[in-house]
Amino acid sequence: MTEISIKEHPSTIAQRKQFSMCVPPITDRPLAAADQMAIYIEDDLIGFASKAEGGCINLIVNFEEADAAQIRAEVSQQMGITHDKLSMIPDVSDDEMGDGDEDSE
Amino acid sequence: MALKNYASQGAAVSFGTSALTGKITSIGSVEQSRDALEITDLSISAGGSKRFIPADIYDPGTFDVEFLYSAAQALPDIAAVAETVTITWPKATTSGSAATFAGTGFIASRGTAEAAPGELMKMTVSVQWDGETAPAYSAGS
Repeated sequence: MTEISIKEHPSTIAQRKQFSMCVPPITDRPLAAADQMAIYIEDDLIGFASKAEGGCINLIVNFEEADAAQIRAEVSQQMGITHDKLSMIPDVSDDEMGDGDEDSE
Repeated sequence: MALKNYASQGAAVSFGTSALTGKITSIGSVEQSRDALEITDLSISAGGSKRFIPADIYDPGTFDVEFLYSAAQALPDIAAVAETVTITWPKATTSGSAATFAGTGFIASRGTAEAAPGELMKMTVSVQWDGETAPAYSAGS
């Protein structure tokens, strides 16, 4: 696994820049996706993570299940909070979905 | 020279807290609009143009997502509260970055799969941006 970094959501950054260019600057408007952080492997955006304890990690690109578990652990460690849910595109087992689904076998 | 990527493969939608996921087969366009208010008055000469001004506010819009459906697929939560929804479009160059369009919204409608001989089952979701944090676009590269 390569290095994972956590940054502000790109849309939040874009909106903050847009508001700062207004005259006078807008400071009191909610920012898009301010409750989310973006997850990168090197410079590739791979998903988003909620800032809320028990929130959700959304992986938006293909991953093996084993990699997803590592990403989940690293994201939670870097953000200092735990995430109850993991959504992953495209294939994921029921238990990785984190919705309390039980294996039928 | 880097190739520009106009292909759809790699586009994704994420739901910030409800964790809805699945195999997406299409992401509809976000249709946003604002009213055009007509201010045409009687001083305009014959043959002239009507006059319009933009409304002060705009409709943040909606978009539709279509998923492949199988019995393992969770249904969208029609009762869920608004959450951050992010559309991600694939990067334009191999070394570039993805574009995102994100804001708060909620699932306004859902459609369970139709089952018909010889056809794939798909479910549909319609997302309404709530306007509380108007969706913002971040260009990629």
